[in-house]
Amino acid sequence: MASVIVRVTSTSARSPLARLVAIPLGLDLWELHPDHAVLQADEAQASRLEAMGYAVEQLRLSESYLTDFATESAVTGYHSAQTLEEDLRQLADDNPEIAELHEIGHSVEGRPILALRLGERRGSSRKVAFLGCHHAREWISVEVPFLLAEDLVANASADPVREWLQRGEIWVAPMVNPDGHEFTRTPGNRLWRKNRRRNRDGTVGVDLNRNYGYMWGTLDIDTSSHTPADETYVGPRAFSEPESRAVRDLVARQAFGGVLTYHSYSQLILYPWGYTDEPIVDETDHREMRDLAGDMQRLIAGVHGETYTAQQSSRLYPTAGDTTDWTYGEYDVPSFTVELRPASALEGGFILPAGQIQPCWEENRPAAHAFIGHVLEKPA
Amino acid sequence: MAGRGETWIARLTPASGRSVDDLLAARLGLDVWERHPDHLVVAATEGQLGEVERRHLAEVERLVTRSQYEARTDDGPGTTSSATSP
Repeated sequence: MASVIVRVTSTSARSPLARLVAIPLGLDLWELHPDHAVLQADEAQASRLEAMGYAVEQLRLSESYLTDFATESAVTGYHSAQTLEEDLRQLADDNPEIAELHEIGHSVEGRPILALRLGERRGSSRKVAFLGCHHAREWISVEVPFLLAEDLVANASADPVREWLQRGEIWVAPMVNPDGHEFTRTPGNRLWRKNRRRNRDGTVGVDLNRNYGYMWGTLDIDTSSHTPADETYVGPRAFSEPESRAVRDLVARQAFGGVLTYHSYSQLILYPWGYTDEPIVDETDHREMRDLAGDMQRLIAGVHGETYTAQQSSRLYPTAGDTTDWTYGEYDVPSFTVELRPASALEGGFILPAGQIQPCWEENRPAAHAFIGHVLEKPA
Repeated sequence: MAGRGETWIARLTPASGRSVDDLLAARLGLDVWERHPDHLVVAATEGQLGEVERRHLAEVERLVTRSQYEARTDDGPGTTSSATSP
């Protein structure tokens, strides 16, 4: 039966649009607006909607939609673990005076976890770190830190980047969870979140962003779970996973002055704490992170007009054992989680079209620069 | 994900007298995608959603099945200029 893309409007009070989402017809709802919805349906479903009092306007056949838009370039806009390694290695090989590729550890399945060190000299006391892809399905969180690294290299001879690379070091690890990311590239597994640890009960995966060692395991709720099958399984103990240990050891060795980790989605700028609703007690630290998050929010909005809301992490939902609670709680450095595009599931959720990689990077560039400047230019 | 049957992307609106925080604390094994002041967007199996309904914890709106959502992959709704606000 042919599938069609249709615009649906309500024609009677007995069939409000808001009810559309609850109708058990198996509709594939793409957009829901105050005055209309866009969805994919087969002919029988479309006829049923009309019988229920909705106006159904056919926009196009699904087949022609896929032919037009599901192009190879759109699918291949994102890195795999392999292509990321190749591109990071190329950056380092082409720019040996400022870029150096490090294996900071290996995943459960033995894949290298890579970090690019950018800076003209070793041993600086001013260092900042960017991380990506703790969660496998959040593909955009690989691309933004990678594009940051590429952009810093490309602008290494121009201020402020030149001065940053003379003064300190910028470390970029775009894919903390390569096993999970590779798994999401296999059929039927695009929404996998955790790493690929085989748990004792036969389930698979630990949520790497619940496996860090500050207040680890202090919550047992759906967003920080002790049940291995759950999406937010915290693991059997803090730092049980080689991927989180790789980050732990890197942070311990380099003593970063600030850490920013990319996730998706929701368009948020989160700062500690995640494990409690209480704000950070140290008023100076609290003000520093709150104000910097607000600055980043304004800088992002200034590019394409997108709103990324700055807020304490626990206001999203409680999380114990996340990266930034640990980097702030253990090392007392400004720490942020940036939740990238889009804002909602209706706009794609975890599956962000490849065409949005570039604008997402563009709007996050000045915020990343502000964070680098804040950390590297901070008075000693 | 634990549970039975098809996995849905669903909107959960807490029942009267309950809050989103209550829902998060209910230990339902939900994969929480979005938290809003008055509702959650989650991925959950039909079994989990049925449990939410059976316990009268929240109103459940099944938005789209996981397989339908995944089938959209690239160039789904995000490419349309009209879909820019939550």
